[in-house]
Amino acid sequence: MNRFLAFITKEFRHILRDRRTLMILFGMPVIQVLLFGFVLNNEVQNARVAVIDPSPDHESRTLTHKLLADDIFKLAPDITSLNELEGAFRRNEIKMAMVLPHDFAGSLAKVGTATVQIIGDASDPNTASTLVQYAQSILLNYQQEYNSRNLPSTATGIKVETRMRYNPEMKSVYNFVPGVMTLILMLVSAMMTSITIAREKEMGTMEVLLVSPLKPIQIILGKTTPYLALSFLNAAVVVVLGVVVFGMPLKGSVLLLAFESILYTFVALSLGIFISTKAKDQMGAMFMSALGLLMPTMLLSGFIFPRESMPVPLQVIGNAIPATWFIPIVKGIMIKGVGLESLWKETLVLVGMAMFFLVLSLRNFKDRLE
Amino acid sequence: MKVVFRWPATASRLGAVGTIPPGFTRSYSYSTASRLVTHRLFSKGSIYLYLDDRPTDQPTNRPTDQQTNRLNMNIIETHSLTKKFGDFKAVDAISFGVEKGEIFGFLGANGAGKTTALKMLIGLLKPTGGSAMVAGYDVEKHPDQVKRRIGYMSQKFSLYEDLTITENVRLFGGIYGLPTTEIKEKTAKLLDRLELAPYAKRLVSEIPLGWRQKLAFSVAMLHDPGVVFLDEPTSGVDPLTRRQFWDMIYEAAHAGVTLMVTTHYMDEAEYCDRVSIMVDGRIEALDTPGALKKQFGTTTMDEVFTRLARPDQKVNHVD
Repeated sequence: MNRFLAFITKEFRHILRDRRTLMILFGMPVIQVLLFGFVLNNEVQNARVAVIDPSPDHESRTLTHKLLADDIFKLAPDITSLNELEGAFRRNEIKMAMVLPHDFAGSLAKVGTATVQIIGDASDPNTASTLVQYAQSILLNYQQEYNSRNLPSTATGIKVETRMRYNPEMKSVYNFVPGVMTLILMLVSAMMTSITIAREKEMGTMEVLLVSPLKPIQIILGKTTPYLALSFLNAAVVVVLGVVVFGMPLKGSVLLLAFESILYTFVALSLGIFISTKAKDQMGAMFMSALGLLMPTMLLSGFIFPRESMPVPLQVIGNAIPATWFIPIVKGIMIKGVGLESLWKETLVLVGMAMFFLVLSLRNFKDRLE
Repeated sequence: MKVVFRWPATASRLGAVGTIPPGFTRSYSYSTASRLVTHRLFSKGSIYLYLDDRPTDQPTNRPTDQQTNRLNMNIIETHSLTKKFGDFKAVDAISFGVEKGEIFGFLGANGAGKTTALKMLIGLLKPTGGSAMVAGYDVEKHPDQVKRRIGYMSQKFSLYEDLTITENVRLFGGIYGLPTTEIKEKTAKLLDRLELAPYAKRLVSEIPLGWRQKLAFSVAMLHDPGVVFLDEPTSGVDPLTRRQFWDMIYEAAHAGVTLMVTTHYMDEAEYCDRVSIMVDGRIEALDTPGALKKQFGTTTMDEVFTRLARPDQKVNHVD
């Protein structure tokens, strides 16, 4: 045990003395959360919207008022006709437009339907879909209200017509906290571990360790334990920032979230060890982790691009990425507040991955000695 | 007064400790003329015995491998030790024994198989054939027992440059399971002996290479191993530091530690008690430097090596 402690002490010293490592370890999570968070949050606040209302009446004013009630939309008062819309979109003066029909109240009362057009600026698809989603919910809300105000027998319905040129999938604002958490854990656990093991190989100190009475498993544990602890700390920082700064809900069990994070960290750590057995030096380890782990985690896991709209082969590849399973877990616990009873499938996949990669990397680590 | 008795090599080879008169301990001194260290010297007070290893006509009574197994306490012993990589025999059935307290030189050109052989002895590589015993244990069957009893200084630098001198010493003391008090004691002693005490809190990357190598050797000796393996310990080190380094090696041998040294420097081969020269995975020659020079009719180890390793060339400088 003393041997192990001596080894871990050394590992912490390496980390604390390397400024670059420290920057990545503690700067990255904070910067990423703040960056992702503020970019996404600012966009959906005070988005300028044009309301085209050719014949203002009581109902159309009520609806417009409802739309502007929150901080989400801010009226662009200068734009009042359909002809001005195109130019306003082009000059980026508005992000969305709501076009009401002639005699809105009249058609609702007489025909029972009215068509409201919502036009989003899908050159920025994520923002557009978020805004349109908000607008739709407000319209729905208005519709229910209208129905309850009038006789229930009149089958009234507002037909919402959405024109979205890209990105049919609606995304949650809270996407980034689980995403950043996933990315940071992968970065710290897999990338840093593979680099630090590769460094021992590169410097020749690994040989000295292998000749010592330390067992290979002790060396691996000694190298990974500090990163397990740091990953956990990082995950906590991301969650706390998400909750405190961005008002991300944390409805489910914190304990379960901690457990799942550790499980995911295990998968990432074993991937890191596996990479270090394959990479010759630190540069190799860095490239392999960046291309083999970080890129797929960002692109294929559903963090940035929705998996539903990917071609089937990419979806299949995405299934092999731990983040694909971890993101739904974090979202489930934090946003939906669900427990293990609805997350057992994802959890099992992660357990399977952890075991698979751990055995694979341990075997590879030993093979190197023969 | 310094009395030096010649002590015929045929009577006993160096290292067969039983034949050295009781009370005599190994000693060493410099010969200013040749700038070489003589270490075939045993002393008791002011009486010196000098082991004359000039070959005589009489056959040596050095036991064969089979016999050494039973008769001698060889601390390193291999039998037909082999390592194949695919069809390539990196080490081809080598058999040799090293006695306690011996400085055994392991020579060979790059790719001759000496590093591979060394790696099998310290448990970094698994043999594909034959066997090897180190410090009384089979390297394949009891690698843990072997590891506890050996020290190793790797060809690449074996200390952590981003740790201080003290931190490095504590780390390796810890890894080898020494108690904290003993580590403290040994750290102080080591710093004192290497005159590094003022630099104890300096990062290893800040001290000169020669000092680092001496420090690395001391760290490899920290847990009092019976055998120490040194893989080209002095490459890139200036001549003066090399001399000091060899002083440390003699001191260790004097204390009964067995040292196995691979080297590129042929003058260093002269410092060894016995030298083995590997060519293409086989041991082509194994004897004292003196005997080897006599056998090949040369005056330097350099020439011996050149004849063995590059028989078609008449090169004076190897490496």
